[in-house]
Amino acid sequence: MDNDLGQIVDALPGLVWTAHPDGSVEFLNTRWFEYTGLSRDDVSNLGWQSAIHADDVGQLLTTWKSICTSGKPGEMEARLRRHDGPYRWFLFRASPMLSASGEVARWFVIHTDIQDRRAAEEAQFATEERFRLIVEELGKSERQLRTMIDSIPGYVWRTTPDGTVDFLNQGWCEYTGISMAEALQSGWHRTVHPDDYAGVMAYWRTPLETGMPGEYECRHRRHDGTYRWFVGRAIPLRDQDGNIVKWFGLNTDIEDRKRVELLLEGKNRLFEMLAGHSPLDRILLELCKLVESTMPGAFCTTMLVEPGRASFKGAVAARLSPTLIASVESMPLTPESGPCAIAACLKQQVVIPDLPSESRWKDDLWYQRARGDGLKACWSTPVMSASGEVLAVFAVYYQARKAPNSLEQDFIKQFAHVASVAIERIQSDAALGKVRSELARVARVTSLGALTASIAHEVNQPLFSLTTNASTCLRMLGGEPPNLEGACEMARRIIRDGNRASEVITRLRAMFVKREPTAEPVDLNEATKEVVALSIGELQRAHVTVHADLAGDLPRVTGDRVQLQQVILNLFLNAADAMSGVEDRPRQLVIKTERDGGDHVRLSVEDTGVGFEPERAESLFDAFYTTKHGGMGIGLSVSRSIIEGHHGRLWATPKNGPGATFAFSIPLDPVAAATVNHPTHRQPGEAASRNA
Amino acid sequence: MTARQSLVAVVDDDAFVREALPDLLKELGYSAQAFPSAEAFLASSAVADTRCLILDVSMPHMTGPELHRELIRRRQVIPVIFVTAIGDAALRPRLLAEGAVDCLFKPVSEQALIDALHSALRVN
Repeated sequence: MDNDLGQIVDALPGLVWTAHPDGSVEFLNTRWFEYTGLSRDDVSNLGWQSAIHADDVGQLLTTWKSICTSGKPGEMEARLRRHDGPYRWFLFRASPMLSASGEVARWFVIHTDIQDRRAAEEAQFATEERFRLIVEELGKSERQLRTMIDSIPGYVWRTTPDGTVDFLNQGWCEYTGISMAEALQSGWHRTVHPDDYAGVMAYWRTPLETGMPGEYECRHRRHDGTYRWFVGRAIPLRDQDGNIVKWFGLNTDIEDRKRVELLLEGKNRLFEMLAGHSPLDRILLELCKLVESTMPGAFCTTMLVEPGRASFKGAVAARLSPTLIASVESMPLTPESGPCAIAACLKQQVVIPDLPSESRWKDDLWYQRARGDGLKACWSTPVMSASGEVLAVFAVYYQARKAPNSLEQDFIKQFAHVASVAIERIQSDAALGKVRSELARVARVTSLGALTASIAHEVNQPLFSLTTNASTCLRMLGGEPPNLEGACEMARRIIRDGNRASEVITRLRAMFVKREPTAEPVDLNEATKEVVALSIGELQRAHVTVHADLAGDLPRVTGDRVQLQQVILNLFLNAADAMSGVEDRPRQLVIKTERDGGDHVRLSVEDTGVGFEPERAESLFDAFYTTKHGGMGIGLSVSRSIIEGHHGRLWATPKNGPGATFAFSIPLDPVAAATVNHPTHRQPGEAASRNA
Repeated sequence: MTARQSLVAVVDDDAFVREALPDLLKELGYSAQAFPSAEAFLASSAVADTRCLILDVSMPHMTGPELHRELIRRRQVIPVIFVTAIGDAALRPRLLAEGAVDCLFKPVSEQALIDALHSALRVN
């Protein structure tokens, strides 16, 4: 094993070992030795197996062998002895590291402590075993049944062969607050969560018909109105002929396990959203929903804090009323203000377990609204950045007086962490996006906009003398008698002024495309992707979706990469501008690259914007022709100059539907194209010195 | 002296404007004289006779607004119509606040020029 890898494995915070492709252990990390208390000498040969529980070694080695043979990732479970004696259950997760040729080069095995999970599973298993034994022992008296069943730590029910409930144990009645008599009159249906009811009813049909045991997870309402997750398992009791006499069911409370599962699932969903660059408010809304599903009865909100702001920057909530949220948003961020503001200012959690008894905020709008919404507890937790800044306040409200228990505090800690990751991530994205859009703006402004003033001056000056001379000319012609000599002089001046204006434009074009394009090989797909990356933030803000359809076999062209990218950026921004007023259809930009004949490539940008009239297709490229407010209309003219500098063409076509397509086509290699017609007979070695 | 015979002075660093504008002003019935710079105008004897000044905003050395302020400082009350080739919308209200009759953007339409001249000479 190379040294770097060894150091990394050694530095990992968990128990890790690596193995050769044949499964023999290669390296055990320091944590592994610390946990087992074994020394490196102890583990030579197969000594490491001494740390595995004797009952588990056989199974472990069998599974390990089959994983090694398969070459695929796999899992094993076994007990590992701690240095001080007790065994704990571990999950061994093995992953192959492949060589360049796809062979397994090495195995990585990571251990996860699953002792607590195993213990919970074993407890549940023990209960179920007991239940099974009881069911098997049935046939004994009803009285004995009752005593035995009530001794089971769970909720027991019994149905007739067709599924009609005819018995429920005392624990179940206590949990639901429904009397046995009421429950038997199909009252138990009411305890199933409405969202789960249809699934439950559909599921049990199969076991009833087939006589096979079954299990199903659903929520049942407790006497106080809160729902908890249960797994319901049912097994049939058969008579001597094998006919089903009764069904016995056991409902086990799996709320805690379910919460952890939902939490994990929800966190994964959130991290997926983060990775997918979802907007922050959607992520925070998802977080609120997750909190509310994980902490029954909770109403959650996340309020954003921005340095230097006197109040919250905004708040996201799922179930809380908008009026309450509005009142929190306007709350001054001072320690004298409401609990959420205090949490933000003092950077510490503020738990108000009994809102009605508070007098501090009785004149505050948010307090009155919270009370109006029946809220009785409010826990505000600051969401901190990695560098210790307050990013947001995460608040949980309840409609009952309540202080957080340790499990809830643990959840809050996890949620606040997720929120901080989300906010920091999005903020850094936003900062990046801002830089990008600034770049795009600068790119446009420096090439076009900042020159607006001088361009305007340059052009308006000859136009002023032109129109003035035209006015004078008309007056001279309209005089009595007409001053024809003067009018002729004016007409000469008008022509001269017109030429001056046109020279200005020629100068401007020359200024934008000053230098000869450099001739380097350019991958137009790569160039396009860079422009997409640069402008995606700006396009997203303009609600433009971008579809790229880039040809896989696009040959390189010879040209000036930066200039071509300027053209592509210009076409993008033009397309976005053309779609800025579009509300009744998607704002969609399609960028496409493809071969154009044997020796050209074509790039087209298609939009769903306002389009143009076909007879305007050419004037679009005139300098100063613009359909935009505030636009100079010089972009397309410059773009065409650049493309013509590449011996290509830039053109526009209106679409059948709404929108327009702008496209350019350039030769792969103008020099090569020229030399094809004049083939030379040089030796390969001479080609480099050829003066192209 | 009737309004139509009033001297309208043009100060602009663009030779083509100095050529075109006085001809139009003469066609409109005014007498007109053009100067290539603020300094040239101030140094001339026309200052005392000028009833309206059509003044370019941006010029090398002394700018149009600087000339306007200099005239106010000298208590030479001449109505000023600014013209500018730089389409800066923020400029106009600033110049009007300093007492200009109008601020027109090049190219100036004939009607806008006539209206500005009328109000300049009525003020006088």
